[in-house]
Amino acid sequence: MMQALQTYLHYVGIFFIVYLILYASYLFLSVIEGALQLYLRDRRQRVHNELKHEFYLPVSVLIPAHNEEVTIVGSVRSLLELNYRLFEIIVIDDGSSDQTAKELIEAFHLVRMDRPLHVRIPCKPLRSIWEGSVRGIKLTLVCKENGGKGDALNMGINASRYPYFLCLDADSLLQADSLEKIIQPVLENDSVVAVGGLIRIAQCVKMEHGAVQSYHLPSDLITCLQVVEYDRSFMASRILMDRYNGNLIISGAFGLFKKDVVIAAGGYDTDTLGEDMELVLKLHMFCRNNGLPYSIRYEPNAVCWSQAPSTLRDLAKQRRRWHLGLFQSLVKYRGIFGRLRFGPVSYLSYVYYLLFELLSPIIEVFGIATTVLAAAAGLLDVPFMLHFFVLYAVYGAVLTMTAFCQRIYTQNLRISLADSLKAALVCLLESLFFRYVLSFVRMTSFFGYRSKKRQWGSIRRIRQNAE
Amino acid sequence: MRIEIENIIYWYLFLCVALLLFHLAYVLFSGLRGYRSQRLTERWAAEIGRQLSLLREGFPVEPAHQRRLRRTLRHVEQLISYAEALSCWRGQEPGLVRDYLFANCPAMQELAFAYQGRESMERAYFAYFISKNQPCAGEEYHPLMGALLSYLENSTVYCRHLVLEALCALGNVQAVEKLLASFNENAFFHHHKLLSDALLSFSGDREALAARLWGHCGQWNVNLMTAVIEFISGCSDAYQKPFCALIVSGQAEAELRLAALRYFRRRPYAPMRPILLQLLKSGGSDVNLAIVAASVLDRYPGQDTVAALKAALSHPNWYVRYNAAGSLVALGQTEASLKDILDGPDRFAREILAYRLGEAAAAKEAKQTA
Repeated sequence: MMQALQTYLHYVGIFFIVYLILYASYLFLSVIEGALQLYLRDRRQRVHNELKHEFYLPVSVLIPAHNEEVTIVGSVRSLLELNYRLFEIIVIDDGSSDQTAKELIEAFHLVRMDRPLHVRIPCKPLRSIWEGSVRGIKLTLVCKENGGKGDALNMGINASRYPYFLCLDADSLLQADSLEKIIQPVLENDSVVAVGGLIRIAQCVKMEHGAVQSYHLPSDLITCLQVVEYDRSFMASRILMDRYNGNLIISGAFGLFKKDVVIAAGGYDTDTLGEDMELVLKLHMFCRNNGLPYSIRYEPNAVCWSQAPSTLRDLAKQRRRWHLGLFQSLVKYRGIFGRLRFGPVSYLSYVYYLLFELLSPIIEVFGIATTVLAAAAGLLDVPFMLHFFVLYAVYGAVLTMTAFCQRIYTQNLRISLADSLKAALVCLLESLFFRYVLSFVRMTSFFGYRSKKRQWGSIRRIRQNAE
Repeated sequence: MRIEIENIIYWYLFLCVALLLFHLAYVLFSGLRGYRSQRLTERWAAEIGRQLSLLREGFPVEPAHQRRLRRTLRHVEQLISYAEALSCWRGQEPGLVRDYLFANCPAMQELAFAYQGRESMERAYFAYFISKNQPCAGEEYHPLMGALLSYLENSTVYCRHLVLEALCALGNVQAVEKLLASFNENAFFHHHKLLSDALLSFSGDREALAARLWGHCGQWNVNLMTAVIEFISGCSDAYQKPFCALIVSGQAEAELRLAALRYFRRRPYAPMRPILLQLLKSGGSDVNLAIVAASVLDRYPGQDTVAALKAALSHPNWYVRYNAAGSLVALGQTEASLKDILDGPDRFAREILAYRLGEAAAAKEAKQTA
């Protein structure tokens, strides 16, 4: 019996060593690559190496909204500050039960129109369309029956006039140059079908006329932990994957898409919780299957400030939804796995999301269970375990701190010494405890999975720090 | 095994700490650089000010100053500060700054050649500098332009774009033609929107440039020629006949025909009317021509146009119907004159027309309220 247990522990040990080496190496490589790319971008900007231009391509900004009466008017007002010549704003009210539509109609004096829609992607029935114009920017409110975020975005695509659309969360704030920055990869290469921007936490900033006035770490710990986590994860995966056209996620909070290609691919899926990831995987599949030259890019200079959940309960809800979305998308596009014709999207990106995102909570729980088993059998080297745990946590914390620092200097933000120390402490806490809390949340996300379909993720909203 | 994984993590940890320290050093260095750059700009501004005083009093720029330019501006940081200082003076004395720049043309030419061997990012910056501070201009092909053209070798899209802007600012037809020929030969992708807008900023004889570039129709790729047509649309009335022939021939690529069609919206041409009316009926693979024709016809008032646009409201393509309705409204048609459609049996035609009428009325009301 003891012999069998020792053999089992031996193989489990080998598995975990390989797993951890792979994960640590991946994180290390991606942070190094991210640092290098951001450094080069910083230099390029300093010497005006960018496609700065007075006129870019026209863009439709789509804002799906469900019970967003608190934030929607502020979000639309912040969009009106964008330094961009030609764009329209379309808010899609997905059957809200609050005053979302009324707030918008009153704030911007919208007029009801009998507008016939060119329905190119099926979606839930339309209730009414309201239109208006603010400082020459066309603002449209589309009220429809509830169908979920993907369905609302499909309606927005049907109502849009321009060849590119930008999807944006109702609680997001854009910097004045965000639209200008996110369209630039399209000007560099016309095979670009989608561009993702950088998402940062809105509770950290005070914005005025589309410019960041001040940056500080929020007072509550939950939001603080997410700040450093976002910085690491955006730097860790997006930049490296962008190097080989392998990004599988463009956040639904801020992403630009070529409308014709999205329509040809079938639009957003209305049955998945992670409609943003599903669309990107669908675009990879569609373009590869049809032999279309394509590129899906990440633009770290295009910044969107999005509200993060400020309570553990809201955070857990959000992360469960994300994890289920990841599961649904990876299962739906399992055909990508192991197919060499998909190139690095298959053997790098898909494998990364499968092993280090989807399965990681299960693997971690398995690891903890094995540790308990080994302890019970008296086979656990406790000093080594503690030493290794602390070492790994410090490594994670230093990586996160590196990403955080890089974000500060590439965006010319200023933080106080107190905030710097706080960030260092938060990075350590994130690495020591927070990631395990999130692993537990993700592990339990499958309970009640069926009943969560087509639901909007609702978190408590606060008014934006913007004027 | 234990030792190995620990060592790997220690090694990664060490490198991450090094990277972290690099970031901190970089932040510190950026702050110092900003301070130094400000000091340099102030020094350059004072020095330029002295040279401008000399010019104002009828004396030439000092040779020592030109020697200093040749020597010092080889460093990008110095060039950035110098450009800042120049932009301050340009705001105050634009004419004098122009004379000053012309006087320093030999130094700039020498610098242009010095930057040839630099990395693409620095070459691009020198081109940017020239686009803002032109040391020469006009008909004559200057060696400086040749140096800028040589920057295209092993270049990035940014470098190519900044060279294009610099050459357009210098305003020499031959140089811009050579640049676009190089884009064509090397199959560099450059978005037609960027190309046409840069060409529209051409400071020399735009008619002469248009004639020279149009001469390459059939030789250059579609993207470049689309940009050329868009540029011509923004600057010349002289291409009505050749563009009309291009549309009618049916031999040219669809993108070129569409760009040429849009030209006739900005510059109406009576002989195009029957052609546009005919194109409005296009379908199948030519449906894009019908879509654009429906929009262009709002500049061709007349009974035949109104009748054709009314018929187009029943076109199977949604965009043709949408543009046709918009053109009818733009042509000043009222609800009364469109009653036959608004009360007619075609629901799609009725709805789109009612919407475009309502949209125009709402816009008018908003304008009056404002």
